[in-house]
Amino acid sequence: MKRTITLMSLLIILVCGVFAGRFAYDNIPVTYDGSSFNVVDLYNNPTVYDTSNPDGVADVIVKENLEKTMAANNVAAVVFDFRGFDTLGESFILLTAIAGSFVILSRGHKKEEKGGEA
Amino acid sequence: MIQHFPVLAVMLLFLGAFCVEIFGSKNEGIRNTITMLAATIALVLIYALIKPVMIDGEIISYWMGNWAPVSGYAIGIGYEIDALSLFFALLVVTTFWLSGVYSLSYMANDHHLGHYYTLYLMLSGSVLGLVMTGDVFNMFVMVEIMTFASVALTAFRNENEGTLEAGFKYLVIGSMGSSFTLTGIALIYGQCHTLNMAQISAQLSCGGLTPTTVMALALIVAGFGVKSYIVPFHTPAADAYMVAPTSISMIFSGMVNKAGVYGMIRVLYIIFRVMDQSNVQMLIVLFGAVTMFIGVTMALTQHEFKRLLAFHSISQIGYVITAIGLGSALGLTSGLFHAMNHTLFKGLLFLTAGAVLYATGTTNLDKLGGLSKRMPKTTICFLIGAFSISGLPPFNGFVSKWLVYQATYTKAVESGNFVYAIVTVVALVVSVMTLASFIKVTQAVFFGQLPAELKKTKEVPAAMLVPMYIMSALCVLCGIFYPIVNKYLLYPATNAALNVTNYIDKMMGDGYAAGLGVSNIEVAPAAFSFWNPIVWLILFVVIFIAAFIVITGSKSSRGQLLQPGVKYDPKYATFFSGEEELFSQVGGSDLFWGFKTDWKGYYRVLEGLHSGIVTDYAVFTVIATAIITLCMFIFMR
Amino acid sequence: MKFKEGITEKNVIIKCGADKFLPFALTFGLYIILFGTISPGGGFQGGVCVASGALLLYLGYGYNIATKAISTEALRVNEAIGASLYVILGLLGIAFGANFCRNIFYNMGAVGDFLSAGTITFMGYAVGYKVLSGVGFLLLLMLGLLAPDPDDADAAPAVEAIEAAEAPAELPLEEAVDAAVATETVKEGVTE
Repeated sequence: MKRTITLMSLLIILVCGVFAGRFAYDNIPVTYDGSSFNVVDLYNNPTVYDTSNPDGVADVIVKENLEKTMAANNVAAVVFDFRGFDTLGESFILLTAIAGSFVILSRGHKKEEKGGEA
Repeated sequence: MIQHFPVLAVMLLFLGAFCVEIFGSKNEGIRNTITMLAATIALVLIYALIKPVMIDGEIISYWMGNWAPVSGYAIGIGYEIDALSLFFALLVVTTFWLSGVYSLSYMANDHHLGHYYTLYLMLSGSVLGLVMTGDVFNMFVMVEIMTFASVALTAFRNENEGTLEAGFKYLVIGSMGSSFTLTGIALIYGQCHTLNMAQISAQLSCGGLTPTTVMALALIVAGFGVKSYIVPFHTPAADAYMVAPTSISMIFSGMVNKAGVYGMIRVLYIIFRVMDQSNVQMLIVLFGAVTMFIGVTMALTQHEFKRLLAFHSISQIGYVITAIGLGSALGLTSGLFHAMNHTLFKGLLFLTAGAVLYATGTTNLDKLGGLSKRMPKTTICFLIGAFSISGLPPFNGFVSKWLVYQATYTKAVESGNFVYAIVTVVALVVSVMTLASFIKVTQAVFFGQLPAELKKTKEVPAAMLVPMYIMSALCVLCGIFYPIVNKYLLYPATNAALNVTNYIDKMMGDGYAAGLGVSNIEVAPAAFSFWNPIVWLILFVVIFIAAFIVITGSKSSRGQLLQPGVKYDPKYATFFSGEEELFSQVGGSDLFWGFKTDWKGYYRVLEGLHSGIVTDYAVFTVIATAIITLCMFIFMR
Repeated sequence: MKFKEGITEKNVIIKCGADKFLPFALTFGLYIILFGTISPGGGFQGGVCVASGALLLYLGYGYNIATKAISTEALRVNEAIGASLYVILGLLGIAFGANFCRNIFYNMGAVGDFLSAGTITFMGYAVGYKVLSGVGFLLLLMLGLLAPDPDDADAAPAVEAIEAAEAPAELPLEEAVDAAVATETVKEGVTE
């Protein structure tokens, strides 16, 4: 009984998700494919670009990167400059998880109090 | 300069956490100083924002790294603090400051205190960052920090039994909620090509609701539902609140719940703006009503103090979700007011439970009794909290619950739908059962006979009493001076939640909201009936003092203190119909034995569902998500 | 530590491998961190590469020598130092008049230089330092659960029983029977 209900609910979520994904595939343009973008031109003239009609955030970031941040690695520029606050948050997640693991896995005091029993 | 204050508050909390980890593992004085310094500075910085945001009505918009929008696309992360964010930020900051003061003496005998304060500061900083951000992915990152810090703090006292198991359950269900939220955010990014809340709101109004965005809405609502513990996502809450240290339980029920509620308000009212459709309103109101009822019926059968308070916390959040789901200005006002009051009185109740645990070493209702003679100050604070949660005038619980009843009834009359009338009746019945449950707890813990082994309990130290006094005073004041609270806190917050045009214009530049066509909704300050709180307060105080003198002053006529090993005397079996009980008094946790027997079938089903197995709880989460997704897809066109 | 009769250290091949690969792992990871803004890589990736050095040290030498060489207390404190460095680099923006996390000296070099992109480079270093100490600490913490406790008397025979049970897979028949009898006596010694 429980298994039937579980399978049914998973099936509902799967069907709705596939429907949504199929709709997105048909109707929504790709986030950024860069097919009309010339990298060599941008590298030679980093200050000449046109952002007046972008088709997403990625378009603006790729064109503005060389002039505004002067970093050759665009991914590092996005991670540390455009969205640097999120990277800060991610490193805090790592620190919290490690501190939490230390708290959860410490069992020394239990052994002290119980006189060394396992 | 004032626009830097929010980021500085959040970053100083995190920096304080790192300083505690570097310097504070050996020396206790440095650790306490750094913690209280960071918490106090954050409190002052957030309270300094009341004047520009709440009173003058401006919205603070702040771009990280000065990345302002280019050609109408927001390329950076933005913080946007309007009145709704500041309302929740004030609650968050007050709660964790009081919890910090409380834990200075409550946690004094534990090990690994350096890690405790680090995790406590990370939790506080993450919730503060969550309510103030204007970017969906940043909100998700803060939700993740909050989840991990909560899991670690739940499993903090891992020498007790069942602690690690509660932490494990919290981790599994919390991770499922985070995954749902992340999938929803990814779908939204695919549709709108941007991650800024204001821009998403503007684009969704132009394009309408496509199947992709409906799926994203369902998943994000499920994700934030897990964080705010609606039934059936409520299952880790009972265990986690029970085993965590009490200063952290107070933060869980006061701050972490409200972060989930804030997320739902943001998503439903501002980003997607679906709350004017009656089907969505019905879905959320039904979830809230079920939460209210199941929470309070499970609470009537508990034998343990903190677990009972946890179920009551779930039930009160049901009130808030019901009020928010109504979609009207009165509903939103009452929901926000009840959220604020819930933080205050539930925090107070948890602090008194912690004081009882600290003084006596147990929270089992069968083993406690008669503590009002030994700990009078704690008793008074507990009674104020119990009266507030039950909804007695003139405390703040009465005002907010009255507004909730008024909101649901007005909605029933306006829309002519019978379901809302049933929801009003359910809300009233739940309030009565809350009062019953707290009569049971008061009799079991504070009045009645004092067992022999608790004869030498002392009152708790001053660092634990000061937060209790402050919260009791706030409970009483918010109930009496309700119009002031409404004018300065609730009316700007409701206004900000219902008028999205200001939000979008401030963030993306004026005139961006031209494609919206949404006019500003005029929010009247909630009309409250002819009721004079001062008269009620004087009457209440007079009766209360008289009752207190009578109860605690007279000699108890029930005989001597109970000695262990005394023979059971069957002449006290009046309330138990012959069933053997340990104490010869109307006490313990079986006061409503008749009620439990009448509803035996219901309780058998309910307690069978709360089986304690993690896989069952995960299955409930999936089933609820499927229900939400199905309802959204069928009814959203 | 004593594992079998006459053998006083772990497998020689693993120890030599750890000896030879450890400097390579550390250098490669540091290269990825340092050149994060110019070539693919960055702070997080390089930090994990360096932290694999702790794993190599454990595989080659065992838990006790690994914790003697790398102290876990120091790793924990250094992780917090790295995180505070990142926050302070962000607060520099406020100190110089702009908003938080502003890249204030982004034109300090041409595109493609070693020190080129302002706070991006230094934030990358801070994150790399933080991740290398954090993940190293996490690895040693979890490996500490596998290590036998120093005052646990019957842990060594348990390891012996495992090694002896693994050994007789390739022996001929009578030696396999002898080895099985020896294993049984050892196991009985454990359960007593």
